Amino acid sequence: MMNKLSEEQNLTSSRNRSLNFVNIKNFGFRYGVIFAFVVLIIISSIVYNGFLNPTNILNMLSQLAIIGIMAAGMTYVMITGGLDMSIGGLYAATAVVAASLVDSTSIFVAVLVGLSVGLIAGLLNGVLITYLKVPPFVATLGTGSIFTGFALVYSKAQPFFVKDPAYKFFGSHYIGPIPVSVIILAVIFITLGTILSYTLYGKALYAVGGNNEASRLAGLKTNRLIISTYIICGLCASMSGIILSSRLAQGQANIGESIVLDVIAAVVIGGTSLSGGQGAIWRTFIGGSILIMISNVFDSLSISTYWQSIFKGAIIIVAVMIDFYGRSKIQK
Amino acid sequence: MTKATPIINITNLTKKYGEFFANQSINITISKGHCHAFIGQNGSGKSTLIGMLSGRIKPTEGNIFIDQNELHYGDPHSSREAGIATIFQELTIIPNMTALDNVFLGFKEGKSILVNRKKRLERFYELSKLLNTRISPNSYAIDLSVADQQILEIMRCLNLDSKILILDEPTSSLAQNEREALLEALMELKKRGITILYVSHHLDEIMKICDSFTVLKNGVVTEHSSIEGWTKQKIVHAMLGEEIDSDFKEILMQEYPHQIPSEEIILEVENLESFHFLKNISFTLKRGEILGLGGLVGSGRSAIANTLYGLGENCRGTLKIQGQCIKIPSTPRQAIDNGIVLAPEDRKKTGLHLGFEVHENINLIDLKRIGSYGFLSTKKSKKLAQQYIQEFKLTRPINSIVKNLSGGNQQKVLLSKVTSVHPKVLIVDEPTRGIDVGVKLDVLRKLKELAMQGMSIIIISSELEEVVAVSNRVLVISKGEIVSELKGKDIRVNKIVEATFLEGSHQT
Repeated sequence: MMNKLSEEQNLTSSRNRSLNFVNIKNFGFRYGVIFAFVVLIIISSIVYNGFLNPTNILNMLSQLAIIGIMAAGMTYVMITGGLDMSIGGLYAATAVVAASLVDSTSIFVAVLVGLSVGLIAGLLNGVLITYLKVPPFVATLGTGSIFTGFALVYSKAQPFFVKDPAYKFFGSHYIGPIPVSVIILAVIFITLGTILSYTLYGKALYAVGGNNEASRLAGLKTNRLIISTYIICGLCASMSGIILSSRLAQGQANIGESIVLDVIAAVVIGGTSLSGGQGAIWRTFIGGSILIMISNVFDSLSISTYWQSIFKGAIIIVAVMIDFYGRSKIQK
Repeated sequence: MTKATPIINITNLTKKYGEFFANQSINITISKGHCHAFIGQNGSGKSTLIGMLSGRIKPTEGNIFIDQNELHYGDPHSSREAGIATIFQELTIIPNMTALDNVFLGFKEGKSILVNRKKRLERFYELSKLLNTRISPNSYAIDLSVADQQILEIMRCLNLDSKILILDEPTSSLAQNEREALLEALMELKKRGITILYVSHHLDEIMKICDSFTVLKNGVVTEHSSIEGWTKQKIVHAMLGEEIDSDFKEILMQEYPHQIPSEEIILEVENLESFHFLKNISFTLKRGEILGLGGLVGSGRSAIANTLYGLGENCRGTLKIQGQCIKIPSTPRQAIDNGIVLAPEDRKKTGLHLGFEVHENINLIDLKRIGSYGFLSTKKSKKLAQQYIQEFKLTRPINSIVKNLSGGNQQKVLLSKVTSVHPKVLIVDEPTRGIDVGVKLDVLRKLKELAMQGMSIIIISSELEEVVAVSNRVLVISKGEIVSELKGKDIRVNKIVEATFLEGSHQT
């Protein structure tokens, strides 16, 4: 009896010890991305003198704007355990539609219609995925192709040029020293970040992603919650489309091809889980920044974009591996 | 019939889990070419016994001899070598492969890496003949009936020259005519000298095809005999044995003598149908009443619970809450709004968010109460959760991650979550599964207390002793229908089991 008791004590104490170890590890998995971010900044500033120059920073942020805004929307979708592959097509479709309307109507109408495209597209994705039970990857791959096709048909594969110089406001203007697109980025990140972390709605999204069935049984309207994330994601993609068409003063249908991967990369590198339930907007900010910083430094060292692509792919794989490895460790 | 030479000889077989005897001193002999039934309630030790034969479970003591050779214990592979094949309830048939490929799945012929299709076809027809069936080797498994799929699985086992076939509840998912087909195939096998060990709750089937049987109760053999001269009634009585009132019942009777339902009817269910399975479910539930649902797993108990909680499919019937007709809820939210809540059977998968903290879990059922202007207040969340869980005496802090709690504590979290919305009707499905005995009693006590506060409770449990201990009234469910209602002194484990095994056949 005594033996057994001391055995149990041993067991619990060793369990405690391993618990601490796991805690440190968990911490590493959870906040490792910040560490990586800081290390990258230090390395970058060493290899590239002008890296921390304010102009370069603002330049990087304005590059981040388009991918970052889309990635913020994607974070919502991925936290509920979904995925939106249609944002590339949607981004192009919005750019085309908005650009085509500026000169014939007004900037206000163009932006409004552009955002409506995102809203409707997101609703469509959401309904397909929830009520019609099409798996997210397939559903959005399909709708993405539809949106791209729509952009091509609508524009007859020709760019729409915008003559009204005021439309350049979103993409190329500054307020003080800060680009308008960066301000839009900041507003969207702060708003979406706050909603996700501090509201009941945000909590419900995490719950749905963490365990859909248990959430449904707890009375949450899981389908509506999921649809709402696709709508937010659609709106974000459209906002990016508007910024791009504004920056280029034209709308073109063939712009969205590779952007989806960059967006997903930004979210995943930040540490939002592919399987839902975990993640945050600040993570996506860091993930997106890491991507932009890498290409900024590579450009400054005049390394070809082909190499950048290889490097980016490798980072994504490592980030996902860390995610899965970390999760399986934590579960033990 | 072949001469009765013993093929399986089990002596003094015992399996202990901790201090608990799952099987104790089993001594049985089974003759070659017999169909032998294992009969007993849920948890009587049938599965353990079969597990030891099939090599999945290692016995604590005792021996199993197959044809005088001792079995290598705890090694499924050597059980197979010894000629024992087991077919479980969940089939391992691959739907998108042909019947032929399914039968020869994982089969290697000699050293060739190529498939000798001609040889396989020949063997396939040989096996079909053995079972007297006509399944086309080229048909895809997905297009076959469940019974045919099961036959494919049996063919797969026979292909490996099995002498002993163990079937665990093979007919539970079959329609009547499919059942007949399977039983006929088994009869055919018996003629060929293959020994069949048959686990089933269907006494009719057992009477039809079995030559001998073993009755298990609490891990002990209470009857081992040839089937001649036995009737279904006699077998059921052998299963029941002498009943001892459980301690739980006595304790709860002493502690809560005043837990008596009022006369007010809270819930009225009329002709409820759902899942194309539940039929004519009608019952009432009074304020402060604890209603037990008895029956076997899969009898429809959980289906009733789920339907009331808005998870049903193809529902029909009427539902009244305090005399008011309501629509059968189509989502859990609607059910909650109507005052019905469910603590689901599978705590970990559908009851709780394992990665979330205790207070988050408790408040997920009504997020609004922890918000101010749509923003989440963690302080409020913890404070409220603390209030709700106080009565349940959680032994861990309110911000623990639920994954790290014991089964008992998880159940407390789940119960405080569902009761926190002050439901009129609380449905608890398997509330004590995987919980220590001491905590079990706590859970049952809590149910009694809630009933005394005026909550009406429906409890489902495979532990019939607990249903008996806590309920004011018990409905016995079998094959999607209510077959019996037990009140007062009739609320006894024996009566529930009797109704389960006998009432279903009375009706047809």
